[in-house]
Amino acid sequence: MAPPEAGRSPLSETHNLVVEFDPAPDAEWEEVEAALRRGLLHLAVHLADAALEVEPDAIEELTDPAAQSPDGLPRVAVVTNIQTQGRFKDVFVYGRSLSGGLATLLSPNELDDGAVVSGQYGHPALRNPTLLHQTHPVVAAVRECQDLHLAALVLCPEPVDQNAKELVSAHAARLCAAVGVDAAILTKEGGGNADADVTLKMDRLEEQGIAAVGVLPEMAGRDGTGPSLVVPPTKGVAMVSTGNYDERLTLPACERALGGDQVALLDRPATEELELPVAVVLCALSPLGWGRLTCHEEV
Amino acid sequence: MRIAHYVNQFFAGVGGEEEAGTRPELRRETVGPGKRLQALLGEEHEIVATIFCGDDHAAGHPEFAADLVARAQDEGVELVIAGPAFTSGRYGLACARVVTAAAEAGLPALAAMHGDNPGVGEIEGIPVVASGETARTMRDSLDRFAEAVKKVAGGEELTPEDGRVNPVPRRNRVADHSAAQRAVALLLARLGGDEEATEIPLPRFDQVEPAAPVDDPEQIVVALLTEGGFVPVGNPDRLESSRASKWVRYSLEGHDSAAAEEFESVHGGFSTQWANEDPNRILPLDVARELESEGAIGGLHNEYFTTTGNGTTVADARRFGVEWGADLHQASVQAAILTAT
Repeated sequence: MAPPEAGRSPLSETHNLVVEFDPAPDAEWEEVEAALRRGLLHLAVHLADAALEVEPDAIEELTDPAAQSPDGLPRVAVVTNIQTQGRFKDVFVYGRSLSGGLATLLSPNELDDGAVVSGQYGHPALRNPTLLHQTHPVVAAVRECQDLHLAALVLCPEPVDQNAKELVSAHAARLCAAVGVDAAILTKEGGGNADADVTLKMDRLEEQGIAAVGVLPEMAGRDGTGPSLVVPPTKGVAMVSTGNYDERLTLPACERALGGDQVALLDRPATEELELPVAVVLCALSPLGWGRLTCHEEV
Repeated sequence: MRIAHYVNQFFAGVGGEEEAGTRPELRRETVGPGKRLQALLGEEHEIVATIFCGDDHAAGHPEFAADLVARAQDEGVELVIAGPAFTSGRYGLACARVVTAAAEAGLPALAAMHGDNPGVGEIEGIPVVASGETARTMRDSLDRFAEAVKKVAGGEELTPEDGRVNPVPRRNRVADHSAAQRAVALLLARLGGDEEATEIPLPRFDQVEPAAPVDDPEQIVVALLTEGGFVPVGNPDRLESSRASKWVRYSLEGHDSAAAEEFESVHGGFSTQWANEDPNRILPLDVARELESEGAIGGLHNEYFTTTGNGTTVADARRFGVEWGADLHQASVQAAILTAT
């Protein structure tokens, strides 16, 4: 990525490989999605092969989450909501969608083994690609913290109807209580209604006496004066902002654009100077907390 | 700082309602409330021009604002202020247009009006300081206005403590640490007993009273509305699939049902597969036509309105609602079914 989005998306600090593909004209979208996901995984394996024989730069030893918390440190769960809206908007846990299901308890170390693979391609700024599930920034930050013990990972579907949101939220909070955590950090994927999947869980967790922190992008409108959240929490207020989705930025004209020739939102060539919402910059508002963007009132 | 002060024809001393058609004008002096405002501002800031316009003219000719701002710029004005407009709707709207035109011209700006003035909702990102409800509160309103002018002239952001009635804009910034690291820090603070710490203040939402049931549906015309991104196949007006900035209308004449080859949903917030298989699932035209032919409703409005309710800003949604309501009212529609997705 080139300026000015450099610094706005953590992808501006990584080497990125852009894969372009053309579906066969007669292919069903279901097949296209599966082929795309498998193809990307094959590519990842191919790239990893090159590193297989190389001496590692660093070795990190992961603690067993089931172990007793050393020195009685607070036990923390990371609760990660994953999008479950069907084709091209789904995330796979051991190859299965959580759609229609309940919250699922995993060892956070299973993320490192690749338990979660994204098949969700919507909402560029709010997307959690497979890489970020495997290197989950919140899981990593809790592991790094000497004052907390990472005890559990809870993966939850993001149902689209209210009753199911309430059920999954209550159930996730009970799972957290059942494994005896003192606190939880919650993340989501996607915009709008997915706010409720975080804030309802914050409420249910706080009711169980479990301190809850939500990681949330804001949708505060173009000028930053609209309400930041679709559904605010009612029992706790501890939230981290990953930035305002609606704020505009101007991307300068560039010589070459990867991943497509047109910007669909504006129906204009991708190489032109474009005024766009931050919402279109990949991972800029990373709901898994990868980026450094935040939002605050200018006082 | 060199200031231009906007007032309406009444406070400019031209006259009342009978002079509401007064054309925009600039005078190189303080007029009306500007005189006391100048006294309160002291010597550091000078109101070099009073700009004014009749309320009716301002309401019907939005371009008056850019015109007045351009004339003020010719006078070397560096800051544009407007009001206080109290609860006067047209005056508040005119103030909103003037400060918006000033901001578009790159000038700092500030308006004063009561929090209930509809003009407040027309202003994006420019501070509005509270005034009283009527001109009887002029003295206090000008005291607060003057303090706010000094602050804005000094390049400071106006806060609710200064009497600001509209929200302070939130802006994206790059923090020192990632959101994940900040979440851990916030969790430690929360576990340490801090129950107030947050990066996102809680928003306040309006409560909408549901409309009363319709007494005699067989006597009235009913409209179908939807936020389902429901358009003729091909989306001729390019309605957005998310964050819609507009709404569109299409005729229902000659349609007994929403056929799949004629209508589709471009909503980006859900899989449209099932909606597009039978578009009546988004806009219940088939059932509405049945009710119409049975006489259960007096008639079906001959066009439908649609937008895409997918992450739409509250400000845009509120505007769509006002425009839909006014349009349907003009068309003598007495009830509407708005399908949500």
